[in-house]
Amino acid sequence: MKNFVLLVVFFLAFLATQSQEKSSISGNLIDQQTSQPVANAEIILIEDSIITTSDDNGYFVFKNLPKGYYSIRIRHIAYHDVVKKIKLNTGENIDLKFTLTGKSLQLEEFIVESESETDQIISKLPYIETSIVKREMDKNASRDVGDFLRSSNNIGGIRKGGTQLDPVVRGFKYSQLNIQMNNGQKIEGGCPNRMDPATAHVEIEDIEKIEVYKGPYALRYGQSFGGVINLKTVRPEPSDSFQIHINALKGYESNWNGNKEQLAVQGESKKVFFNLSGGRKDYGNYKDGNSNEVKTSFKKYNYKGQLGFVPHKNHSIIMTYEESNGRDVSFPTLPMDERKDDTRLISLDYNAGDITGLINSFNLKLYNSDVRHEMDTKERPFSDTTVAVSIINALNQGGRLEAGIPLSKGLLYAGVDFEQIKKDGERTKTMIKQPGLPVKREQLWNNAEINNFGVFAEYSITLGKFELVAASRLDFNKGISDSILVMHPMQGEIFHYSTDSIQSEYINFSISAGANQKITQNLTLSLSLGRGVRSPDMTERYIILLPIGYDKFDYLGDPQLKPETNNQADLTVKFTSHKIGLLQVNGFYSLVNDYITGKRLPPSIQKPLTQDVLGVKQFYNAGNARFRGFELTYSTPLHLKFGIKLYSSYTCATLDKVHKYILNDQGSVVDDVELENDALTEIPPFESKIVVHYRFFKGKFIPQLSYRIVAAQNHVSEASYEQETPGFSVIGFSFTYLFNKYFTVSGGVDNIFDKAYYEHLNRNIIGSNGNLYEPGRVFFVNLFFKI
Amino acid sequence: MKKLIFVAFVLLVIFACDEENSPVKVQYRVSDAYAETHISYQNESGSLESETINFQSAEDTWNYSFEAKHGDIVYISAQYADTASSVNISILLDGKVYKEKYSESEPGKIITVSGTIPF
Repeated sequence: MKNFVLLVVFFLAFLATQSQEKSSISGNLIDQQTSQPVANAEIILIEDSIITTSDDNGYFVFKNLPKGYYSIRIRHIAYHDVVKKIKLNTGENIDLKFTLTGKSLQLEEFIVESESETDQIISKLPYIETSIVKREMDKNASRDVGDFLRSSNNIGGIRKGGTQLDPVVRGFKYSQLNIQMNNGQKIEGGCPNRMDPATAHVEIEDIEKIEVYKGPYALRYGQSFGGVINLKTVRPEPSDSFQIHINALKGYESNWNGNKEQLAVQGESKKVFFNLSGGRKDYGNYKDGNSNEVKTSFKKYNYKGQLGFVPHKNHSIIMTYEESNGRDVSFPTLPMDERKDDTRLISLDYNAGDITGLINSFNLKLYNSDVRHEMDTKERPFSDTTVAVSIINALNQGGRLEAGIPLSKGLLYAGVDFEQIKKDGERTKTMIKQPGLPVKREQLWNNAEINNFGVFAEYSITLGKFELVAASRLDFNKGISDSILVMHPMQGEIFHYSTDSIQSEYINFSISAGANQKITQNLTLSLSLGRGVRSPDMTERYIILLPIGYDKFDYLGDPQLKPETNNQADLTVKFTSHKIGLLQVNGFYSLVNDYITGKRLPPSIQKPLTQDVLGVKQFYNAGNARFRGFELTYSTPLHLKFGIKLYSSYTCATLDKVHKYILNDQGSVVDDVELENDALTEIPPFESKIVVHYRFFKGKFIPQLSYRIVAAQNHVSEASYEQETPGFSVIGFSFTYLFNKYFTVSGGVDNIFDKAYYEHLNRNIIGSNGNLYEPGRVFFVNLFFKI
Repeated sequence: MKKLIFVAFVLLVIFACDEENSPVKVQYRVSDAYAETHISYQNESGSLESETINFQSAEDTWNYSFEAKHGDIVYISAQYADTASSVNISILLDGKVYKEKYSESEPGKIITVSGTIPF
């Protein structure tokens, strides 16, 4: 009923907009030097994403436009971009004249082009930068950032339930990835088993753009090891005139009866601007391709308020307060479900541009990310005997200050950042069948704290045919925790750390350098070299006997670990042509020193706390690990109505030496052997995806068909008894239709043929070796309304 | 003005339709006892309470009701000393029996019924 009411609301609003009198915008494009008309330029109405092209006379026209404010962008391969903002009144027909300035063919044009049209941009950086804009997210049945990121090249996600997937970039995961919001705000998840990675605390509907910097090169954003994922959320901006914008979304997905709604109101004026938004999601269990129901239901809701000021020209201050809340999120592969997650994010941003001749930009950010995470076993079969509840408070607060300074024909970014992570929590086990309801309490973290202070600099300059970028950072990292004591009711004290032995301090130096060289007009060769160092995270230092790994061992932290170092090289060839399109081929090789993984402790040294595990593993530095692979991206030119995008990627990762524990029939460890060049766990297999689309009605209606082929993963970790995964292929269809300035509809079908398959990174159902299958066929529709 | 009305209406539709996690009426019941019976139960605030009830006849029943949320732990236990006595303890959720146990001629034994309120 609720869905029906919403549909009626949207329909009535749609009809109302149809009755308005229409206006038009037309224009002519002229070459500045020759005064000749410019044909085949693209003219884009940015707000509506409507595209047309100029004819042989340089003429273009947009008809039947409602009144309002429009931004028009003119793009052509041989000319500089032009953007003009205009106000269109009811019944008005505006005729414009644009004089275009010619330029030599450079790569940047494709950056602009691809930023708005594809999710895989050809970056001007000498390493791989993937930029995903909101329009790409809106086309899909997006329910979670981690889930959506899997649609990008060489990015996977560890699935443990229906949502909150944990991103994996080129095989790097967890703390090897630097995940943040809006250039610097970090979030520390609560769950030791990472049911709530940082991406789980940001709603995808609130994201304007996702930037992924692969490799240890982008050092401006904090410790960078395997890559940076920067989630840029919707933000209000000042405007010359007072305006109110409203965006509303209603989405529905079949199969798991998923409903989502989002509403945002933005107000803009010269001095003050604001944004108020909120939304919710309610998804049931999905059925896989075998029609088996998978317990994956979840509920979420979020609120956000932002207020900005312009105290002075080119200066702005934005204050943000937001809450995201998860309820009853099921995780069939983990020992617990998320009962309640309350996340509160607060930030203050001060941005200034063109302050003096000495400083181009100045950015200050202060933030506080507070996560209160509650998990339990109440919906598990054994909840009739024991109910376990874990409540964890995870706090991340800090700041970042950066200045952009022109220096000797180049640009220098320099600054400092600070991050403080605090974590505290315990697990309560209530034996509900025993008289008197005895309760056992176990600490998961005991006021553990990590502080990191960093100093960074990045310098970029163009010298002839070379574009050079170099960056470095120095991190001072210190960790501490209260003393840790684990008691077993039968065995007594089984683990104890005194405060003296759980402090750790690191000074890490990271550096990177890269260059683009223009070989020909269309061909660019890029090379990047980097050394990224990361300190061990909260889990690796302080986790106390919990089965958090891929294997069935209790894990124990080690505060005395050495930091992990990634020495990486990326070689990229970029070919750009107005006729052929964009082609980018990248190869990378990474040598990781002091790779952190688990090593078994004999029972005489450490007994496990969890029942039915194989023993205890403690984090240790295992020596060298190697990651290598390639990525290929191809996209046809934007101006063609018929478009093809092709993605292909492969990563292979091995550990030079690792111990394999030999198990007997009862599952007990009886021996161990040393393996060489064993595969690392949870590395995505080779995959390719091809996407074809066609622009009907000047880009108003764009149907799209995607075909994804994933190879079997046979290169698996022998030491961790990792299972091989069969290959699969899936086909999906989606479309976007721009009814008018106010209404857009997207929809489609995922997994058209209802195929039963699972990704290599999907965890097994807990208590069995059963695989967590992906959803079967899903029909989805998203209605977008904006005024 | 039209925008404001639209926002208010959509907000109403989105958030007013949110289904509340409706509370569950929990009832502990002790019956079929003939003699003094010691009872322990978890109350609405999660604390364990104890009482000693002197049952005069089999018709006597002891009831305790409160409202709880889905997922809350419910627990009651009973213990009697008289060899001739018996006891029936049950937990009802919204008037329906959720867990029940009967004991006869088991003096000194602690009889428990417990569970979590299903989601």
